[in-house]
Amino acid sequence: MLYYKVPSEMVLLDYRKTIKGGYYMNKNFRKMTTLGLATVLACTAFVGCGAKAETDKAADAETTVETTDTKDVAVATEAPAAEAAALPKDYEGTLTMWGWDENYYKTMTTAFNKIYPNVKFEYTPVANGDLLQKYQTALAAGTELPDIGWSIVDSRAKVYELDMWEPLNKAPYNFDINGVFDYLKPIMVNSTGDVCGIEQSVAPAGMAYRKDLAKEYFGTDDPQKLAEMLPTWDAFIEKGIEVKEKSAGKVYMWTGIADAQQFIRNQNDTPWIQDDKINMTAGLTKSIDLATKFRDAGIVDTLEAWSPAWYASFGEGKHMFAGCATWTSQFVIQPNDTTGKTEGHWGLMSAPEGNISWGGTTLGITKTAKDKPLAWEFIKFATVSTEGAKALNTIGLLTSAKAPYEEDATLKSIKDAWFGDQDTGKFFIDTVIPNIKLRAMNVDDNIIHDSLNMITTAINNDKTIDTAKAMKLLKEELEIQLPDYTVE
Amino acid sequence: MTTSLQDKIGLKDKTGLKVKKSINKWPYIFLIPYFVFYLAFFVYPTIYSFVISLTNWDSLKGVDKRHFVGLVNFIKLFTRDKLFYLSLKNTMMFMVIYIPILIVGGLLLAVLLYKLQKGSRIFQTINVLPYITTPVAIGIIFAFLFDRSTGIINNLLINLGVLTEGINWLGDGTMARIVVILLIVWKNMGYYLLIYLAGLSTVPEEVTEAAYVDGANDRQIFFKITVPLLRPITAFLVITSIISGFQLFDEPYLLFSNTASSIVGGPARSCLTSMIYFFDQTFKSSTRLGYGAAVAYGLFIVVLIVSLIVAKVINKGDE
Repeated sequence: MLYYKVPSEMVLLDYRKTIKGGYYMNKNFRKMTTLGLATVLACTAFVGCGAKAETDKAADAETTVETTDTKDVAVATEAPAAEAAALPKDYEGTLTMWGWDENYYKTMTTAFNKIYPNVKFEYTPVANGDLLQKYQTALAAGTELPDIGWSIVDSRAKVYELDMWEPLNKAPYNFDINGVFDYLKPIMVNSTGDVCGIEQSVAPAGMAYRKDLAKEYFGTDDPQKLAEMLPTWDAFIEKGIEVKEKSAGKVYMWTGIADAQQFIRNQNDTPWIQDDKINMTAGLTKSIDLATKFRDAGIVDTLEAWSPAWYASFGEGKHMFAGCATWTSQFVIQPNDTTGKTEGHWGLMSAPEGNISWGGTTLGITKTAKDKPLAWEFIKFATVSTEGAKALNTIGLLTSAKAPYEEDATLKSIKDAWFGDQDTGKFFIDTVIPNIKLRAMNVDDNIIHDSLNMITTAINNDKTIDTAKAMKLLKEELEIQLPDYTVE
Repeated sequence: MTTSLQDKIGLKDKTGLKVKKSINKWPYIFLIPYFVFYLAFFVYPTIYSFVISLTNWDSLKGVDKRHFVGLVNFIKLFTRDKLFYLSLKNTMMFMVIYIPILIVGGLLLAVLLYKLQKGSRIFQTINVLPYITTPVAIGIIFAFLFDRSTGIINNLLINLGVLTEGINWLGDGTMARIVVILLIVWKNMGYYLLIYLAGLSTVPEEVTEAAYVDGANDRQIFFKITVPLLRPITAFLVITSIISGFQLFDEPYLLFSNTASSIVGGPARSCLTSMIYFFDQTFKSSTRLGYGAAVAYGLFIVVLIVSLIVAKVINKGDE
């Protein structure tokens, strides 16, 4: 075979006619530039699946916050109750978390670093509604989970069934669940009875009211007297009609039917699902019935809960009542009621027919955590220690452990400028918590929740739907969504 | 005598001996990254998804408890799943309404802009801007606009005297569908305009000029010359619209997922499309990855059948 190099001028694809020397240089330069650009372009396609930690950060705006405190700790602190004899300053490492409450994260990690100065943290913001999906996909793809896993109560039944949690009730953690308030126990365990997380704080909820409106229409803004005036929802509706007439329809009792209903449905502790049946009649009739009554009486507004208009309504002073948990002031009232701080607009009272537990987030250790003892140190600090409880108190939250309150009774107290002189913390601990009836969780609760929302929207929209028709629609909906259950 | 071409590509040298053609490696080097990417991120997941659809994989039970169950998921999907059929019905209803609006509207706009002497670029840009805006922003803004109590649309209509009370746009099934269709039409009109503008430039001017000379008016030229000559483009747009229409996800999902009390698929599930249903089954309301994959493949089968039918109808029209 004879080989010869094809002279460049005869290469078919090349149409340039240039000086030979310059020609060769141009051609190679072009080739290398094109190859380089093509490689860069191909590499950009791999951005989304880079290093494990980055997979999560690509989905949301990443905030990596590292807190290190290497100053000498001058403040005398208690040594943590740990099995190991290691001193706090000997604990080193980095803990990762995915969460939606940066204020909580910063407060607790700063307080933790005062005692454990050599521990770093990495935080990735995640919407709480996306948590189940993110954990699922990380597990399925085998990518890294955070060391400390948060779990919000809405999706907790499912999240706790994922095979990603260290059982905190077992060795080496040996957490005693009797250390937290009793009513929390059912929502801290999975179906096999393992404790998968400890509540960051308690989330008891009563009913907040605008003191100015209560004074104007009920003649009093005292929570005790108001609770006596409104012992039942029927009494609430009667009073609501009076308010509507006095105000010529300008003042409402609540911002919306769905908003009221998400409070009312939690007052019943009948489990929604038991074995293979859905307790529709026993568990859901009352909240549907009240929704139709509220609508027919015209005492509630039409704002969609959690919408921008709903948030803004807290500063407008046209809606007298709202469900109020420990977190409501920080997330809902304070950002939207700008004059409330100086005028102490709000009061907290017991809701008709009982107060509830509303929300809640647990902290647990994931199986892929690199330094589980360190993660356990943080969780213990944040959830059951007295120092942790003090840090929580600074952001208006109450620890879920009983012991800190016995050590330091001032931890019960929360003074919130928006609530004037009322000690909301004491109200939550002494009045709300002892009487909370909590419904047992089930993995399919979220589907029932969604169906209830759908029926409530239908009730809101169509005045011809009464309780019977609404329950019929709900039954049909539940039978389509959950065909494996019997609807009773 | 060898041709100059053969000289140039060196098949035969001047002595007549065969020459080994040196294989140019560069095209292959440039193509390999694309093919690796294509195989890794398209072909493999497509095949693996089908494998998943034949299992009973549930995230809650874990990968270890995953078993091959054959076509059980598909049987359940096609015989017992009412929501799947509801989602297909909703999707097709949207498509049947918005695709003709987009095709006709895009064509009319293109014809008007084509004739515009000045300022056609500005109008083109304005019309294409919604198409390049991110769907997330559009969903949130439309949710604000159409809010029952504080939305600008209701306030405007009340101030103009058209309404006495705000319409519950996002709380009523029918109204919610209208909002979704408005959103889709507003967003995508620019794309159809661009394609038709490009197509209009292929219509030979001599034909239209000859028609003018023969006494045809604008309407006759539009219907007898322009539209028939744009038939291949219309066919392309219809088929691609149908395929992308079945994948409708962004607009209805983002419109109705802003709040914590939002319902999957909007009020009365009127805007539950097939892709939203798939996403919800796999990652949101339930965690059954096997069944979710079966939903995706069930949708694929439906899209395939519909596309084949539409293509056949269009080709028959051509004949």
